Amino acid sequence: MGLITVNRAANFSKNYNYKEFPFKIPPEISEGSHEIYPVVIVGAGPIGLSLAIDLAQRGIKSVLLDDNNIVSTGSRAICWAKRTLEVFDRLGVASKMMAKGITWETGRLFNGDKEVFSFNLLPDKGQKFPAFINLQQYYVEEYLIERCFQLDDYIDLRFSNEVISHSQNKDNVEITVSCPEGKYLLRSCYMVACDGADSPTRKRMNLSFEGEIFDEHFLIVDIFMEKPPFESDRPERWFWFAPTFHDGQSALLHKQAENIYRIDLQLGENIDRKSELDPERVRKRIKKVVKSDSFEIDWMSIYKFKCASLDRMVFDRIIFVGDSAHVVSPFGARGGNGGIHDVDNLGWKLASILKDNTSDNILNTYNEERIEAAKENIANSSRATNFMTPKNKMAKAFRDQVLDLSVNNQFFRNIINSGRLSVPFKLSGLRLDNEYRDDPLLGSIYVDFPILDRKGNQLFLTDVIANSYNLLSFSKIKIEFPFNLNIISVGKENNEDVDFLDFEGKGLERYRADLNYLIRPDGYIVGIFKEINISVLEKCML
Amino acid sequence: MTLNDQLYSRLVNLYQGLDDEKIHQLNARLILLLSEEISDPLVIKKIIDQIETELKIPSNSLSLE
Repeated sequence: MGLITVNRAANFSKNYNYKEFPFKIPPEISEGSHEIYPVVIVGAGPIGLSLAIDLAQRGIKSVLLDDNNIVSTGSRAICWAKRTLEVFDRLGVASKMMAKGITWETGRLFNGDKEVFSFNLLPDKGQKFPAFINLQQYYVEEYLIERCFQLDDYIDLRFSNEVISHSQNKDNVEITVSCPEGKYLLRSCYMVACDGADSPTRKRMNLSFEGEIFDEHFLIVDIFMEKPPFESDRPERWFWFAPTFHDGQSALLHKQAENIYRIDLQLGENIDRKSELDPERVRKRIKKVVKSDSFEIDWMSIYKFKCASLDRMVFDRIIFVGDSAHVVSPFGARGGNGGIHDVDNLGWKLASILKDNTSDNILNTYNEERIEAAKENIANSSRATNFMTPKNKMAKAFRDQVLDLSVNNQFFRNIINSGRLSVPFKLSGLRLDNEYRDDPLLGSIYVDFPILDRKGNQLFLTDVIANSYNLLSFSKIKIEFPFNLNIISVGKENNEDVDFLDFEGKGLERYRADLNYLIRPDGYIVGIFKEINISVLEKCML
Repeated sequence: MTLNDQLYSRLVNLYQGLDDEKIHQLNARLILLLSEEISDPLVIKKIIDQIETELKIPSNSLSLE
């Protein structure tokens, strides 16, 4: 904890201009304040920052505590998937991310030094955001912090403030915080732990965090390279199973913003950490990957990971979000994205308790939905890890044969798993009880499509999804609803009495014209109806 | 009868003279190619379920759905 002075010799990215955010004396010390805050968020990484913004945009104040005063020291989470970008758009940071981030289209997969196949991940023209972008975590945090500063009536962002203890009773949470001016006590209705994989909150509560530990070490290196290492000028992702340049272990290369390239090299189980981080040794390894000497090491680290989860995420007034609640391997980018999906699920529920006196039972749905999502993410990332680093001779034989057979055969290409990209968890057990309860869209996040508003401005569905419940309809809705509902009426023809025009016809490729879709504030379709009946609609809402 | 004596002999003979690593590789290749021919995930699941039961292997979240 404390004021960190940016030291270029330490493990900071060398090509990112770190700012030290100022420490301000908290009002509990300067004014003797005893205010009880609605929410205290612990940890100002991407998850905590996003939650503070989400709550602020819903009119809920929070205090956001972080034990240091800079953004992420390395690139860390770099791959942000489409649904996450839609959430970041709602939070007001996606345009900056899109401007800075890298979208790659071509993935190339090698077995040894032989290319098995390449694939094209063309962006879907009918949606606002691509499948994902690559952008270093420090940029994401920078943009989120700037957004928090814009919302400073609602967000009290306190750098260099470390939580050292906490307790809860039936009315609130009491948090002892240490800062450069001393210790003070904070009180809040809820405390949300966004304090990462090594969560001090989780450790203080002595919560079980069970899962599978993987013994493989990976060297992760960011390099700055003016001239791209790829054969084409367009960014690509290259993945090698057992390349000859790296003793038969796996290797990954892909591009981030500002000509930084991420390289992951599997190192094996028993390694000498210190010698593996020797810059000269690392340079030799990287040179073999990029086939050039013209690069500068920007940041590096060695990691080993485990896949684990809490068995619940809500403990009365203390709620866990992101890595503090569940950790996965990096393959599939399910850590950062999964955490943002937690935020998306929690924000509106917490706001409805604090603002609309909704019963706190609604938090049970956060707990149930996100624990299931964590299990799915863990299963997916563990499967990818087991494919990439086979645990026994037979697993290796299966992997080798899949790679060999896939050169000319799509059936086997589909089995190759170098990480299944993060997609939103699908809800089950919804309350809808009609003939559309088996519709594949039910329980899924809405699928975006382009629209024109009445003034002829081109938008996307995602631009008009509101913070409340939404009703997407392909005809004019003339019913008055006794609750807050954002009606999105879309038509095919310009002369229809609707708010938006499905001018490319993509909407009706993805939805049925004769049906109406109830969409939750976090984007989930939770009801599909032919006839609109207010009581049936209400039954589908939490 | 799809696996007659002649085919059975040819199958067993595939393994003649192979060391352990090559046997593993051949087993994997055979199983994968047969899976492709079967091409029905429910049939493959049924076989895996049966083997899990025989070997008393617990079905977990990482197994095939």
